[in-house]
Amino acid sequence: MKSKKRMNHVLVIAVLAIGYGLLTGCATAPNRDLDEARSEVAKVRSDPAVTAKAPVALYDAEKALKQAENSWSNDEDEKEVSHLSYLAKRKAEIAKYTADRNMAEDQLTAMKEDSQKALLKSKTEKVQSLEDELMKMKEYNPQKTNRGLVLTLGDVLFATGKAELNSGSQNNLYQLTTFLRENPDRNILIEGYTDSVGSEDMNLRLSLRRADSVAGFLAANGIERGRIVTKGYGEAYPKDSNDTVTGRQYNRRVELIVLDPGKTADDVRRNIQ
Amino acid sequence: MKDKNIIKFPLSVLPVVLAGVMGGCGSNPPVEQMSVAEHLIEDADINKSEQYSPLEMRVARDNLESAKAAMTAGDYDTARRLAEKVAVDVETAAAKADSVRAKNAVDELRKSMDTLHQEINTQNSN
Repeated sequence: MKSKKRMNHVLVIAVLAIGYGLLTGCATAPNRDLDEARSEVAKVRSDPAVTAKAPVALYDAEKALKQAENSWSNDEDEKEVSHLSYLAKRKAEIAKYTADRNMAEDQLTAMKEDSQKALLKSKTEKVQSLEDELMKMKEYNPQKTNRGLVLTLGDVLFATGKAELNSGSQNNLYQLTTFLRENPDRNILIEGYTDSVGSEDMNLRLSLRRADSVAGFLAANGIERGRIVTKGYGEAYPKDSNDTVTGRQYNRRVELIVLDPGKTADDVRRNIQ
Repeated sequence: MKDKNIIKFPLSVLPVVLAGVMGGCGSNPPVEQMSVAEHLIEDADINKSEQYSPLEMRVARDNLESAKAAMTAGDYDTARRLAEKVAVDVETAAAKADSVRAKNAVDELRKSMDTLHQEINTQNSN
């Protein structure tokens, strides 16, 4: 009697012990998938690119790992622990891909900025070099003004009272046309002026015809018509006194203005006096 | 008789306790997870995920079919896990595709910039 009772007690204790074991620590058998998940998350956690560029994705991965850890320490079904570990591993992968993508996009932005800077520099250098070349053409008395770079084609380039450029002048102008051809983004305004001798009307027409002559010469040498605007001002805007011979000669001129990049003739037109 | 009962009682309770402990209590159909998985597969960008991660997408689609079969069979735990797997796999495929595309864009831009630099240098030396 006594031994049977004892055996029952032992059995009860044994069952309770097994139950207790199952409820707490027995199924803390290591789970290989969880170990892998821990290792993958640890990798991205310690990757400075991920912490910097994909902090939210990293947080998701940590959260998923925690879920797996909790299910493991709560003794949940091994299948569930492995499943949650798989999710955590994938989340870690996503964090790495996200960081890579964000870094690449940063690089893209930086490269585009560099490229724009280089292009701007190259354009600036080109502008500078054209203006340097034009400023060297002393025979045209080049002046940099707020209307643009002004070259003065003097009276000697034309036969007296005529609109056509004489052949000697044409030779001199070739170099100018080369520069203008090479810089197609610069527009050109050609303005003709006369002295005060003769009728206003006639001078107006002559001044315009001379400007047109120069324009025609440029066009014949490869400069698109669309870049050129001509204007005749006749006796207006004299440069010098009309009372002296030299003064009148100075006044008989055609001014060729190489406009600043992006400007058109309308931007710098004079008002008729 | 009394002694027998003491032993029997815990033993008969044990399977229920075990079932509870093992967590097999998921007897609700995972409708939300299935819906999420199906939408993710449908909305996956063909020019992105399909092109750059074809294998992951193929596996995801197969898993979705398996999940549907498990749903029909009433195996809700399996269905839920498969559906969750589909969701994370589609997300991974998209993240991978985005990463590859961004890296490719960098390479392409670098190549075209090199060409541009060469052209500029040739022009300047003329």
